[in-house]
Amino acid sequence: MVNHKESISSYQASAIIANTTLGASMMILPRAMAQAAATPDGWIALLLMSVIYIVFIFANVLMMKKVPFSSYYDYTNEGLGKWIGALVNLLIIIYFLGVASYEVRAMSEMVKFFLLQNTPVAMTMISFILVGFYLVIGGIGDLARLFPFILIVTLIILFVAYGLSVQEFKLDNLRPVLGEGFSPVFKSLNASAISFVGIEMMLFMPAYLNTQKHTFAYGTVGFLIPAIIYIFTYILVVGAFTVKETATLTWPTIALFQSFDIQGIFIERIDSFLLIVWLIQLYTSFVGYTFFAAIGVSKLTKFPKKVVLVLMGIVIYFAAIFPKDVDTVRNYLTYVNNLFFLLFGILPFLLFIIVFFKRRRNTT
Amino acid sequence: MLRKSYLRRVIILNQTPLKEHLYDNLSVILPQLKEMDDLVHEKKTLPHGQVVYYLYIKEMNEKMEIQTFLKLLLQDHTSLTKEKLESNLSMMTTRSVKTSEELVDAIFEGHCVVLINGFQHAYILETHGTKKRSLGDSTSETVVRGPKVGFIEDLNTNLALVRQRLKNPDLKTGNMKIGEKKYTQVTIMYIDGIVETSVLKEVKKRLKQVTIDDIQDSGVLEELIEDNVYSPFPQIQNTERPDKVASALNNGRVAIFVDHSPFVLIVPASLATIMQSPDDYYERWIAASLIRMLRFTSIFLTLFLSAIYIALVSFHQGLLPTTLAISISSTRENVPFPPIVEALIMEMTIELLREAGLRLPNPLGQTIGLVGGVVIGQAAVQAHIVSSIMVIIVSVMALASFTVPQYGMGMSFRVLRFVSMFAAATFGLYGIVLFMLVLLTHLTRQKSFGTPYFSPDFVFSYKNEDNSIIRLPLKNQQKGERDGQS
Repeated sequence: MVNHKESISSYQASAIIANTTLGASMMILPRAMAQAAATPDGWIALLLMSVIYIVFIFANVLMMKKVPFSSYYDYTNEGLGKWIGALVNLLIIIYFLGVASYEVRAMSEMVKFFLLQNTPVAMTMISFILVGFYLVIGGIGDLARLFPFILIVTLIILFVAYGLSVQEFKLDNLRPVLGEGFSPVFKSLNASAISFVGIEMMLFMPAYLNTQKHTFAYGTVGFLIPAIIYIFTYILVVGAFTVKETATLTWPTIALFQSFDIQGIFIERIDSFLLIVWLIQLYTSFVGYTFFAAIGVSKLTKFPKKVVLVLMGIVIYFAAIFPKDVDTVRNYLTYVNNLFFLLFGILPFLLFIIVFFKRRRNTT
Repeated sequence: MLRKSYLRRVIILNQTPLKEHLYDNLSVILPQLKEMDDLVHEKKTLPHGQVVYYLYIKEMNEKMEIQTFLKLLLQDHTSLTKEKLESNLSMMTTRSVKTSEELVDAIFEGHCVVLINGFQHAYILETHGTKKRSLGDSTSETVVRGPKVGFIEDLNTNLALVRQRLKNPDLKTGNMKIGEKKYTQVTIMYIDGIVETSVLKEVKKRLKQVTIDDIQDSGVLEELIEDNVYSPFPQIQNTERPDKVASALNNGRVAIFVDHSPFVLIVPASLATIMQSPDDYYERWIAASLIRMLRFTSIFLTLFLSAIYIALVSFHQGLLPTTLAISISSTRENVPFPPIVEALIMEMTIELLREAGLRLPNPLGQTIGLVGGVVIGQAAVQAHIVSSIMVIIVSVMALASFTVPQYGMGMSFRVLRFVSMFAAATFGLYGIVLFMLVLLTHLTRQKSFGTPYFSPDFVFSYKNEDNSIIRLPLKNQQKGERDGQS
C-alpha cells in the first residue's frame, strides 16, 4: 500500500478526485439546500462555492509550487514537528474515517429504503466495507485504473438520465432569481460545503503522480466534474418539484426519476440505474477515503497492512452503525465539516508559512 | 525432492567417458536400458571383421536412414578408419559423442546410436522421425475469413508455421527443457526489439521454476506459470492459429510453444486481447467493431441476465414496469420454486447439454443439442417446473457465453454467473452491484506477467491503445504506432 511504486497520470488523478467527491451528496444535496434557505437560489450558492473552492485549489497549487511536498502527512510532520504533526495526522485520519463511515451509513440507509427492506443493516455494511477493502489493498495503481472507467460509465448514465428528466423541468420553479437578495444564498452556502469534500485528496496525491506539471489542471477538472453534476442535480430537482416540495422529500433526486415514465422500452423508469450508479459512486468515494486513511494509519503506527485494515474496518463499521437516526448523522456531519475547514482550509496556509521559513533557514 | 534433484546434478557432472572396447561400453549402457522390449539392438560384423553395434527404439525413427547407413558400412571391404567413416557419413546428419549418458539420452530422443569396436567415441545418427498428423484446420477457433491452418502436435512444424509468416530477422527463438527431469521441450518465440524485456525475463524465470514432468498439453504449463491460480480468469492466451501468434509477436508479446501440444501460449494476456478474434482484422472495421461490442455485451448478459431476473422477481418487483411485472408473474403462476431454484434448474440443464454435446461424437452431439434445447425446454415449461421467461433468459445467456473467442474465458464467465445468481438471490440488486464491483476490482488488480490484465481506463481513452472496444481502421493504428515510437 505505502510501498507501491506505481505512478499515476494527471488524468487518473482527476478521476480519483472526482470519484471521491461524488458521494452521498448527489442524492440529498437538493434537500439540504432547500431546507437551509427557502428560495430557489441554491444553484447560485453552489456556483459561488465552486468558485471559492477553485480559488482554494489555486492557492494550494501555488503553495505546492513554492514548497513541494510528497504527501500531506509528511508535510504536517515537517511543519509542526513530530508530536503535534502526529496529532494532526490523527485528526486527518479521524476525518477520513468519519467521511468513509458516513458514506457507509448513507449507503445502508439508501439500500434499506429502496432495495432491501428486510435485510439487516449490519450485513449490507459489512459486505460493502469488505468489498471496498478489496480494492484498497490493491493500491493506488489499481484505483487509478479502475476509477476513470467508473467515472465515465457514471457520466454516461447520468447524462442519459438527466437528459430524460428534462421533460419534468419547469423554469418557473426556479424563479424569482435572487428574489430575497443575497442573504438566503449565504445561508445555504454552509449546507453546500460538505458536498464538495473530496478535493483535499490532491494534497495527498503528489507522491504518486508521474508529473507535477498539471497539478492545477487535474485538481480543477477533478473538482469541476462533481460540481457541475451537483449544480445540474439541484436545478433539475428544484425545477421539477419547487423548493418547498424538495425540502420535504427524503431522497429528492431518486424521487425525480420516479416521477416520470418512459414509454416504449423494456424499462419504464430509470431510477434503478441511478441507484446502481449511486451505489458505485459511494463505493469509489468510500475506497478513496479509506485508501488515504490507511496510508495515514500505516505511516503513523507502522503496523502491517492487514492489521491496519482490520482496525479501520472495525472503526468504520461501528462509527457507521452508532448514530441512531439520520438526524444524529447530520450532527456528526457538522463536526466532520468543521474538521475539514480546520485541516484543509486553514492548516495548509499555516504549514506553508512554517515550512517555507524552515526550509529557507536550512538552506542558508 | 531437493535431494533427488541434487543427486541428479551429481550424476550429470560425473559422466562416464566411452572406452575403446565395445563390450565395456555396452556393459555401461545396457543396464540402463533394461526391460525395454521395443529397443532394437543388433550386432553386425563388417566384412573386415570389425564389430558394429547399433541401438534404437522401434518406430521412433526413419528406418530408411539406418539401412542406408548399414549399407555404407557393409559395402566397404577395407578396414574401417575414422576418417573414411566420417567422409562417408558426411551425407547424413550425425554427430559423435564421447560419454555414455549422451548416448542413452539420444536413444530416448529417438535417434539411432552406433558403437564401433576400437573407437573411443560413438556416432549418433539423427534419424529420429516423430509421428505426426498432417496440417489441418484449426478446429477450436474458426473464422469465416482468414487463414484456416492450425497448429499440430509437432513443435518444429509449429515453429515453421510461424516463421513462414514472419520473415523478420529479429524473430528469435529459445529452446528450453523444463520440468524436474527436463523431459518437456518448450520453445519461446519473440521479436527482438519489440518485446518487453521484463516480460521475457519473467517468462524464462517462471519456465525454469517448473518442477512437474507430467506436461501433456500447454494447458498444464499454463496453470504452472500463470500469475494467480485462484483467479477465475485465464491469464494466458492460448491459440491454435499461426496468424494469431504472428500478430501477437508483432505486438511485442512472447509465444510459448510446448512440444506435443497444438495450443500455443501467448503472454502477457489481457481481457481485451483474449476477447479479440483474428477475423476482427480481416473484416471491415465498422462491422468488426460492432461485433466486438456485441461480444462485450454478451459477457455482461452472461454474467448478469439471470441475476437481474432473480433480483427483480424476488426483491424489487416495484422496479419493473407494471405490464412486464404482470406478464412475468403470470408465467410464474404455477411454478412452485423460488426464482433462484428455477434458474439453477435451467442453468444446470444447459451445462449438462453443453458437456454431453462436447463428450459425445460429433453427429450425436448435434442431436443432443436438439433434444435438450427443444424438448426439455418445452416440456419443462408445460410441466410448470420453470417459467417460460426463464427458458428464454437461460438460452440467451448460453448463446451469449459462447461468443467469447477463447473457450476457457467463456467457461470463466459461465462459472461466475452462478456466483452472481447467488449474490442476487441473497442481496438483490445490491448484491449484483457488489458482485460487479468485486469483479471489476479483481480484474483491475490482476496482473499477467507484470502487465495489467484489465486497463479499463483505456477502454474509453482517446488514443485507444489496445483497441479494446472499437477496432479502428488499420490506417489510424499505423499512425498511432509511429507516434508512439517517436
